[in-house]
Amino acid sequence: MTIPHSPENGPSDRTLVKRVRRGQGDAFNALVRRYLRPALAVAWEFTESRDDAEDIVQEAFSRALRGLQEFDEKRPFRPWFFTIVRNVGRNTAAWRSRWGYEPLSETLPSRGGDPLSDAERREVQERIDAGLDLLSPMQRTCFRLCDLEGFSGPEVAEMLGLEESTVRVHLHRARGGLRKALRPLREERGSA
Amino acid sequence: MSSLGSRLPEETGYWDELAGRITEDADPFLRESYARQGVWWSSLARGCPALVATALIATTVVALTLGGGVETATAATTSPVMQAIEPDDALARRFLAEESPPSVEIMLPLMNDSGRTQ
Repeated sequence: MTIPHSPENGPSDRTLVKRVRRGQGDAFNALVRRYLRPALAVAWEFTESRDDAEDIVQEAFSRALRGLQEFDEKRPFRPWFFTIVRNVGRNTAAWRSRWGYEPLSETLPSRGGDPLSDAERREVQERIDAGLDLLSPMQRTCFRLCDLEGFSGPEVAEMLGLEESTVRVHLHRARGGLRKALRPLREERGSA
Repeated sequence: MSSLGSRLPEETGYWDELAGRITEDADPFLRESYARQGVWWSSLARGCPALVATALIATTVVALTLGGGVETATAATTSPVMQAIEPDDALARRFLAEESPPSVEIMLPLMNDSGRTQ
């Protein structure tokens, strides 16, 4: 799966960071486009609503921009940035829980096609969601980012600030848990 | 990998809009950063004041040292020249010593019969 707006070609992060510190807007735009998609994927793990996830991402980029003035250029940008995203996500989640904020429920976007396939897809989605609810938060996050959003194990490790081996373990357990949750559906279809 | 459960939008327009929103929000700060770069050494000054202070002191010392050296060198070159052109004639030395042009009366007693100075 290709990741739109995450071009790895072009100037290195370090070059872009130097240019952003000099106030060059095009360099900041390039950094935003490079990290927007994975940042939104991580942010969404802290909230139920896409709007909230977008706000988290926007706030994270804003903090990163201000923090870049003091940022040690010898350090890699990527883990530093994802730490900011996670911190903003945690703060937002804590705020929501403290004030009892409930985001608007979002309907599953239709992917077109006939109503029958939409209904079928919704059923599978509900089973997956039910299975995901049985997983630990970290297993769920690793499964979503790797298997549903298409990020690689090393990418997810960086996004979550974990060791790659830890991500693999969470992923393995998550897949096992989901397999159990989806078994009845498979059996129903097999007997039908 | 299944794309069934992906929540992230695939439309390019969505990402363009979100990126635009974030960069627009950052624009005032970036302009401010750019303005701060007006003086090329301001980032150095901000990053390491001690280094800049040392550089300024070093520059001052070098300037003073070079200035003194030039003066000494000028004196060293002009001194033999002055010596070479300094007259051994008493009258001429008196002329040079005077701040104003010499009067005729001063010159007369110093002349011998042939009209030459002594």
